[in-house]
Amino acid sequence: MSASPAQLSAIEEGKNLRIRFPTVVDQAVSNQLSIESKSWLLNPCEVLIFDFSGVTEIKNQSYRAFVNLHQLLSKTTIKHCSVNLDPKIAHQLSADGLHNVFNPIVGRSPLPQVTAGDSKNPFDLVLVNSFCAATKKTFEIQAQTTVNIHKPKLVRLSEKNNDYPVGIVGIMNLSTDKFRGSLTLVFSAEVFLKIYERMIGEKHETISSDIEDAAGEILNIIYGAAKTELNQIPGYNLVPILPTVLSGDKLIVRQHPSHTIIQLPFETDLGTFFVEIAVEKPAAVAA
Amino acid sequence: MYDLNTRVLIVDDMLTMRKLVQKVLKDIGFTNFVEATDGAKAWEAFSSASPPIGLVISDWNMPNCSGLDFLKRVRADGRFAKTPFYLVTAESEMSQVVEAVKAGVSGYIVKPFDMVTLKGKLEEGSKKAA
Repeated sequence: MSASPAQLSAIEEGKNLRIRFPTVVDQAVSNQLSIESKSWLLNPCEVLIFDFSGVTEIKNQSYRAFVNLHQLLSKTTIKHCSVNLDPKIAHQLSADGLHNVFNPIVGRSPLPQVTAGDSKNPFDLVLVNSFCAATKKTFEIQAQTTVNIHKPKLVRLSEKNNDYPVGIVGIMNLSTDKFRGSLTLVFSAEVFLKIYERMIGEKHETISSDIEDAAGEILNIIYGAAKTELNQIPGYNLVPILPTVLSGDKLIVRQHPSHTIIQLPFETDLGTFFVEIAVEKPAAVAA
Repeated sequence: MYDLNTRVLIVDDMLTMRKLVQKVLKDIGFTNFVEATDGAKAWEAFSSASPPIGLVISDWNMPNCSGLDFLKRVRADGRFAKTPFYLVTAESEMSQVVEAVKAGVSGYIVKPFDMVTLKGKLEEGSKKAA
């Protein structure tokens, strides 16, 4: 995770503007925020990302500037969210009734290195970060398994090959106001059986019909958690969708030729599993 | 907190979730479980149970009869107006919470959840009901 800047800084990332904060967000930072935010509104971006990497404290005195900015943003088309918030600070903001003002995206992982608005890349940071955070949260709470997210990889279909064993997959179609695509959760049989044992407390030697719905349920929980975060941002509007589960010895995960794919590897003490997000390329969406 | 000997009805169309909820309830100390796979089957099991069901943990999204429809059916019967009834869902939109509260839900459990969360929700609900 990158260190905090000495003072408030704004970095353009495609059509987004990322705001970095110093370690302690206090009255002085709040004053700077009030002044600089006027220029951000004059040069509108799509998403204003408050990046709290390295921030250890947000003082109450700074709240007013965020509330004022939130009110100003609500009169524009600019969306906003907070990323890399320390969980304790996120809890504090929620307890102080400022959830909507900060609109935190759960999780602290500085993922991934893709940005919204890149014409070659239909993925946006908020979407991918939401699914990363939801996956991490789901495994840590529901399966008591610590998850480390490795660097995501953008994959062209022509380059895509399954360089990992596939024993079971859960698949969901994604359909929002912004894009169409799919979300796929991929486990090897070995990793799935270990995660199932930890989650349910039952040991199985093979993936049977009695236990394969766990892959769908895990995916369902991930999707629900990400959906809750994303639907607070205008333009996503994810709807409830039922997952499909496939299992077998010779499964190959392919994606639609018109989709761009991002592979997200998640490492646990039980082994690695993958999440693939496939999104229709912009031209295909427009068509 | 509810009596740990109470009969608990777990309703979910997914076998894994029924097992998961039961595991977490066992961790809390509950021992007596009845299961159903949708709201319609749950109502059959619930309305005819002897000894009666003392606690319901139901999924929201199920085929045939949703958890919310099952809750409304339970609350419409005066005998079960105060039976603790908790809805489980992967979504936490406020509109859903409001709808569930209007229907008389005792608590709302958002997935993912662990023993601490579920126990906290049950304690909170039992205090409100007292």
